[in-house]
Order: sequence, then structure tokens, then C-alpha cells
Amino acid sequence: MVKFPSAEWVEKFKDAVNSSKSYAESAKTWEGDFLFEIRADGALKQDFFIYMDLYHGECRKAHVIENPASVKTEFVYSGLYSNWLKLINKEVDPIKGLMTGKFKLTGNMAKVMRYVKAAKELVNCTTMVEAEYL
Amino acid sequence: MWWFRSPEVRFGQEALDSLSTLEGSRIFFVTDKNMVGLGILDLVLSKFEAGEIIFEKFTEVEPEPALETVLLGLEKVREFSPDWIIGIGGGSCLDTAKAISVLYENPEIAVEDISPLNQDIQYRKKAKMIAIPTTSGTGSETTWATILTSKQEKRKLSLAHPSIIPDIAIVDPLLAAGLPLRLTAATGFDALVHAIEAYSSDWKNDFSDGLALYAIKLILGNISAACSNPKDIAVREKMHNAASIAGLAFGNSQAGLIHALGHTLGAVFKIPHGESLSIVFLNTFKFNSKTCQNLFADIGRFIGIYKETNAEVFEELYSKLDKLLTDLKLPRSLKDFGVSKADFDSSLELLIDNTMADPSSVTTIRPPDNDELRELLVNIYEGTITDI
Repeated sequence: MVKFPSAEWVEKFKDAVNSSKSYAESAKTWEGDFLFEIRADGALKQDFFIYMDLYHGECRKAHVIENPASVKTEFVYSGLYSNWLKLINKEVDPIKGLMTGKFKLTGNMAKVMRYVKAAKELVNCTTMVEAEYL
Repeated sequence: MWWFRSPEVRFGQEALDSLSTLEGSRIFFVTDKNMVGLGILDLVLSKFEAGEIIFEKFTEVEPEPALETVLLGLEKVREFSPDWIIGIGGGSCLDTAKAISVLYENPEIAVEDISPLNQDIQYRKKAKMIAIPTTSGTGSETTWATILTSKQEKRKLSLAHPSIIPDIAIVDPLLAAGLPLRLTAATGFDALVHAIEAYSSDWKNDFSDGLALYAIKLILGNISAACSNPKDIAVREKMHNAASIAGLAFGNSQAGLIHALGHTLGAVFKIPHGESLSIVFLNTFKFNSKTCQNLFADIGRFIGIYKETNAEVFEELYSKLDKLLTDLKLPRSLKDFGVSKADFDSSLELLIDNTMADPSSVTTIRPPDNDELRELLVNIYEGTITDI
């Protein structure tokens, strides 16, 4: 079992995304990279940043970023650690999470709205990674 | 957390008269040529004191309105600078008025930027909005969504944002009294599907559930009478109220796969919305029942189907709705509607992609994968019902 968040978790998550038929189908025309920001909260004492390059239903790259200013991604999805846990445990829907202010998304909203199913499938992939939390 | 949103709803016979108390000086009407021809726009105008208010109108709304139509109306509204925008008509007119209203308020955004994720959209600093439905179906007067068609992409865009919801909905059944039979059936069926999907949506909640169930009861109790005795204003009133209540229900819990498919087929094959829903209904209802038979059994029991098991209640409800489609003479398959097999086959992949991209496919209770959706669509074409 890997720890969330950690470089090992990111690697397993990438594998989960690339093994998901549902994600591959719903994101088959998606092109765009993300910075996921897990903001320090509760047991997480320091912000944690994950870069993901998502292209045509596949995750081409995923790794931990030390300095978020070092990358310029098309989208940034950001939330507190406690809210990420709720998202992973399916206590919060990714779209509802944005609408209720638990998460913040920057980037082209119209583009994301065409791929809401892909966004949901991406979140579903987090549940495929057996993890222990801080 | 979640929230419940609603406009101020003024309902009942002669609710339209309440316009005489409206405070404002410049009113912009969004409607279509039918409303002008039927004298409904004049009827609305007659409610205001002569000389006190300046009016402008945009009457170019077409069925299943295109993005371009919204931009045309927007140009006029910007020239006029109203303090009220009033949409009058069926869902097409109301949806156009709602989109114009948001874009008038937010000149920096494009139509496609109207999204629940967009936290920069401003609310009603320039003009408030009133929606006056003249059909009993879309519920647009009480929802925070607008459905527009991209002709270029051959798909419908479900655009939603809390700022879209009208400030006031005037639900006066006298305005729907002359609705033709086919439209009464199709729009009434649309309202029924709103309520059924609201009760079985992935986002269903305590506040929307009661509204959904009661709307279903009202519609099933009145839709056949509204078609067989269209002059009965009491029945019209129940249907008119039910459509707005169903709008409140699904507006606060969201629609599902039936609407996602309906939007897709409507845009690709140019099928009126209510009929696109009747075409996909039985197959999708059965498909969803594999996940939420208990919810459909709740609906059945609420309308008085007393059987021991959920399966038995569902079967009877299914038969009742099957018969309703027959009674209302609504199409039950794409083939029924006149779509050729060649057109269907050549569009199948587009249908799958567009259905998957429709936001209602995300809030649906049983999201299909591509293979399931393909099988469902083939059944919808033929009108055959199978277990998927």
C-alpha cells in the first residue's frame, strides 16, 4: 500500500488511469495538462503538487512537482487535503466540489464542460489505488 | 453541502396581471413570431400602463435555438439597455432570453463560457429577468440551464449557471390554453421525464424529491385529459403547474441519460425535444432500472401502484408509461420518426460521442460505457427493448 500523497501514489495513479477503459473512452479526444494542488491542511503540513499530461485518453506523464511556478499547465485544480480525501472517498462529486468552492479550477471552463464525464472517470481512478492516508 | 434555487413563482389563472405592478422603465422582450401572430405578445404588453415603460422586442427565436440567434438578440439588447428582460414562449424562447440575459450582464464572456464552474459570472446588476411559459413542459422558467444548438457541431449545448435562473416565473395556464394537441402531448411528456429523471438522478436530494414525485402524480393524472379535452382550463392549470414544479425538481437535482440522448438525437436528426425523449424513453428507463428499480418503485407506489415487490411495481409502472406513449401518439423509435437506417449508421459514432459529452450523462444514475450506449442506440433506432 502506498501513501497519499507521495511519488509512489502518483505512479500508481498513472497506471490506474492508463488501465481504465471508461477513462480512455470518455477522454479519447482530450488534450491538456493539469497541475493538481493538494493544499496543506490537517495532517498534510506542506502543499503537494502533481503534474499530469493527459492526451487522447491516456496519461503520458505524471510526477510530483516541487515548485509549481516551474510549470505552466493549461489547467490547475486546487483544494485542501481534507477535501481531496473526500473526493477520493467519493464523498464529494468533482463538479459539485467546484460549485461549492471546495475546489478551484483555473483554465478554459467551456473545454472542461465538454469532458465532465472524463473528469469523473479520472476521479474514479483514484479509488483504484490502494492507499493509506496521513 | 448543496443548495436549492428557485425564482419567485407567480402562478394560477390571471397571474399575468401581476406584471402591472412591475417597477422598471425599459423592458426587452424575447419571443418568436408565433407568439406575435397568436397575439400573446400584445396580451403581455396590454398589462402595462401605456406610456410609462419603453419596450423593445426580439422576435427571431426559432425552435431549438442556435448560438447565433442568441448573439443576434444580444446585439439588440445591448443597443437598448433594458432594466428587465422578459422571455415569452416555449422553452426555446425562454432559453434564449436566459442566455441573452447572462451575456448582457457579462460582456466579456462567450456563450460557451456559461458554466457552473465559472465563478466570475456576474448576477443581475443591469437587468432582472422574467420567464413566461406558454407551453407546459420545458420547465425552463424555473431552472438554471439553457439549451442551445451548435449547428456547426450538430449538438446541443447544455449551459448552466446559477445566474441564469429567472428572478420571476409567471405560470399562467391561460397562456397555454391554445396549445395544439401534439405539442400538449410532447411537452407534457418532457415534463414527466424531467420529474422521473430528477427523482432518479445521481444528484437527487431531499429538497427535489418531493417536487419530483408530486409533479409525476400531477402529470400522469392530467396529461391524457389535457390532450382529450384541451379546453378544460383546470386540467391545463395542473399541467402548467406540474411542468414548473418538475423544472424546480430537475433544476435542483439534474437530468440524466434520457435527456442526454434526447439532446443528441434532437440535434443530429432535428427532432423536437419532447419527441426525442419519447423515442429514447422506454429503452433508457429499462436500462436505468437495473440500478435504481427501488426508486422507480417509489414512483409507482406514490401514484398508487400497490404490489408486493419493487420488481412488480416497476413492471406495472413500465406498462403504464408504455401505454401512455401509445395513447399520446408519440414516436417510440428513430425508425418510427422516419430516420433512415443509412443516416443512423453513419451518425452512430457521433451520437455516442455527443451523448457522452452531454453533462446529463454525468449526473445519470447509471452511466453507460461506449458498448452499452451503442447497444442502447441500436435498440432506440429499431424500437426493440432488450436487457442491457
